[in-house]
Amino acid sequence: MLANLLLATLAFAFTIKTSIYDMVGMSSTEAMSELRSGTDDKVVLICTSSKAERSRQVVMDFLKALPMEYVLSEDRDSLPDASLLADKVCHEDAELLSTKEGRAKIAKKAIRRYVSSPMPPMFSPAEDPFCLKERFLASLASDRVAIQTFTLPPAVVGDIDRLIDVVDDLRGRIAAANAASAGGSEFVLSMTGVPVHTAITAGECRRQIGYLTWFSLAFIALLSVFVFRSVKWIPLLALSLAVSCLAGAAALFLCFDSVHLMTLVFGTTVLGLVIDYSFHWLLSPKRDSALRRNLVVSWLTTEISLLPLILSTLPVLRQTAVFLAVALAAALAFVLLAYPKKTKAITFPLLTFPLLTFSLFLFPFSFLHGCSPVQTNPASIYHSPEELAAADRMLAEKWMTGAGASEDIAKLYAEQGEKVKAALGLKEIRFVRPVAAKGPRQQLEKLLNELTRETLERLSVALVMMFFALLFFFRRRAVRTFLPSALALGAMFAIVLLSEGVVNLFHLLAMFLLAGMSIDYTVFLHNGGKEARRPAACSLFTSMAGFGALYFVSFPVVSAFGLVLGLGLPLSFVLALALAPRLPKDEESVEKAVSPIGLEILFLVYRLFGLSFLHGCAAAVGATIWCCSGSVRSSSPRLRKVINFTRSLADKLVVMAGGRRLPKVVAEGSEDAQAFIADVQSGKGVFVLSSHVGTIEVLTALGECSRTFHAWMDFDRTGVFNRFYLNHAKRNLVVIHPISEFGMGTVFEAGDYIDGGDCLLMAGDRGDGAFSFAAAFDHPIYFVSCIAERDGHYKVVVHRLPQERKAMKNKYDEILSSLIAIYPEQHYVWNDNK
Amino acid sequence: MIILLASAVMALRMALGSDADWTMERQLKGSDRMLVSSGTVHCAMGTGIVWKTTFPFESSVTMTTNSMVFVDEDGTRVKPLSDLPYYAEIRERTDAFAAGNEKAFEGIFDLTREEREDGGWKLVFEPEFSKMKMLVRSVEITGAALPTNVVMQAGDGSVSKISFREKAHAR
Repeated sequence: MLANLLLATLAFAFTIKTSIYDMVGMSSTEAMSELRSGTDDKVVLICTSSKAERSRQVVMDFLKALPMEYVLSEDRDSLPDASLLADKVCHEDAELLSTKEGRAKIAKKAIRRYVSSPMPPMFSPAEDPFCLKERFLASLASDRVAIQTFTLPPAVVGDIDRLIDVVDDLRGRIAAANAASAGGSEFVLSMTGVPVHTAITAGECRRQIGYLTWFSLAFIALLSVFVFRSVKWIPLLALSLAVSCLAGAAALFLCFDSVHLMTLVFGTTVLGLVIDYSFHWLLSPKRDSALRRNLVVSWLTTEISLLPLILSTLPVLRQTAVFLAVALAAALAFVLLAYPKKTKAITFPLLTFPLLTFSLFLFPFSFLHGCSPVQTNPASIYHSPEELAAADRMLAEKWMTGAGASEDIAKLYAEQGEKVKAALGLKEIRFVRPVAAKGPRQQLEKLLNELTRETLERLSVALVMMFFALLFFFRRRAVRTFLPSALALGAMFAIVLLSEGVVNLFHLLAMFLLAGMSIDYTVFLHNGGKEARRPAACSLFTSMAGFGALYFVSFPVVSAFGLVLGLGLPLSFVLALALAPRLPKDEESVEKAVSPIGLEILFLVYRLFGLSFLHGCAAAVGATIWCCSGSVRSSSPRLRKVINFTRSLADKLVVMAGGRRLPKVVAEGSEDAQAFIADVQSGKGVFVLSSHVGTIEVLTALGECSRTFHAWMDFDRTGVFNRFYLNHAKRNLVVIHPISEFGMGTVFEAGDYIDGGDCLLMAGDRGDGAFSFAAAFDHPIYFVSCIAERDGHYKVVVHRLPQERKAMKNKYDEILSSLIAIYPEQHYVWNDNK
Repeated sequence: MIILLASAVMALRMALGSDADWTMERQLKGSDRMLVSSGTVHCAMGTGIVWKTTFPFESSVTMTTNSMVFVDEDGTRVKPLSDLPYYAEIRERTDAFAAGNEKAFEGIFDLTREEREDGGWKLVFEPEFSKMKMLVRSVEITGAALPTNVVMQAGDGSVSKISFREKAHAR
């Protein structure tokens, strides 16, 4: 780690680039350098008002009021920059240019203008033989628009922090000017230009990097606390992140002279990615070679998915791929070498939802739709802020930079050039197609479409390479391991088409990552056994937090990654589960869907919002389980019973944990109930035979029951609840004894408890042993059941039982049968064991 | 100098109320010959000016108090002066100068005055700010009782010479 720090420090001489051209690598080609020249430092001011003179005055005044250090001195005079007029035509000329007759008219007008107009022409015929530029400038005035450009000094443009400050100040001044113009009723002043976009983009990037980083870190920390139920692992996780980030940063700065700001935005996703290895390691009970192999295969497939990005011609993606590749390698090495070898596994069960049909439906859809909707237009890179978009739209309206106008101008020269040349006595007349007339937008679009097609091919190659890697490691299982990723990719292709209309370059690039990461899940879920599900789920959540958050970033490039990965990762996870080989069947367990984290969350909910809210949540959980689990529905065809059960579990939870707001538990007014309470309070020692009708666990909420109850139960069967209770119980009114430890000594111990005035509790409907146990003591025996009368209210049903064992059992069975008949939906038996 | 300027102002005032024939010779940058045109100008001070070309094409430009009207073989086009702020400003300043305001062109042109050998006068207007100089380097007006010649030098070196011959007496 120290080596990483040193490398990063030594490589600190880097430059952060912010331009869209640097992001897509347009600085190297000659044509693109022509496009860039002359615009990087030009700010365009646009003013509209009811009078052309007023517009011009506003712009002049604004310019004069700017600090000296904002503007190159020669820009302070009026008139638009003539260098930007290369291919500009007014609307009237644009119409005339489109027809042969119109072009002839333009030529005649130009000849008249040069020969006989009393005012000297603005440009020489060599520069403007058809007076297109002059009429364009005149049209601005008639449209009551003033357009003025000024140049930012190199000291401002070259320093991104200074540029952001200057642009922020300019925006503030414009806002103040517009506010002073009676809310825009007198004039509207706006600003645009490459440096303005650059500054705003850079500022947004910085803000969003900060949000994403803090969000990801907070999520990982929170998840760690929930998963591990302890903060002790957080320093180790933080160390993993630090090592991987430093390694990635060092590689980045060693390989590149400058780094694009977008790379840093993407880089925040590494936080969710590298933590996966940590979760897999810490959550697995066995640190064996199988786990190591799975981690290595997972890492290798992700690296393969990054390889095409490293070879991409887009600098920002090359940089991101280098950063991620090295960070992941460092993270894996750190986990394998530095993490503890022996750790108790933490349980974290899952729910799985079959979406195979969904993806199978979508997968062929993407092929039926065809590959034509794979294209990328410049809008997919960047959406400008609204204030700039309005100014840009006005410029686009006023300034005809389309290739169509340029073609028409070329025709004008071809058809009328000789005539004008002869009439004006010119030596030559030649149309030089300006670079800007090719349309930066069209150039960018062409480049992006080429890159998109290239990326589609590379994605296919990457998938083949990944498949062969899986074939090498898993042989015949390779197809099954690869299938979820392939299906998820196909589904995401279709989803993007449906939601966005086209699949662009950045969606495809995100699919590289999706392919590599989704295979990780399959590798672990198909080869790691049941224990691998939990760490894989944690890995999914952290990746979703890291990548899903990107969807909310304002840059389309970044949000494309968020869409593909935010949806694609959970989809591939579910598909991997659905296609996973069947695991050995577990014994039917009551606690199939219980989660220690879930219990903690529910307890927190209860403490924040009260018992009624908790009941609502419990009912929702019950309904979900009933809907999603076939086995639950077969055990209980009626939804009501499951909801009663989940609510009773909630009550059990709060009573056992000693919460403040407990359900109301009231004993019925029968003689037996009164006798029971009197015996308990007087410390006589009572044996309670309970059943699975109602919720016996809420008995201690009965105010009169202040004695300790000793309960014997199958500890492992309800281990999650029992562990929760042990963690939270304050009053210790219930002491749980595992039934598995029941032996001869238990009778003596129990005898001591009951003789000391405590109560003994055992279920009578789980075997006849309870009756023998009860009969061994010369203490009152009661049948007790806590029946829910309504939400949060229980009635304690009490019947005194005979001391003789057979009579005891008969009466118990009789009472139980009658209770089941009266309250069938509170008879919580889910299996055949009695 | 004051007398000189007064003569020039008076001549300009008279011109703005009279008609004249004009001939223009224009040497444009890049052109290998002089472009010649001729026509008439009709002025009604305070009302408007009609600049009519008769050679080599028929066309006219009329400036009224609030608009400019262009007539040629393509038809008639009217543009409000509010859309042509430069023309409107020049017209206002010219009217003010002709009314006797010597400082009418201050802030936009530097004015120098010269006395000619034949007793006439010459006024030279040079734009004050640099971007305007790119369009018009100088405007020279010479005359005696009436303006007789106007020479405009453009920023690119083109030169337009307009000579006037009185056509009708002032109304």
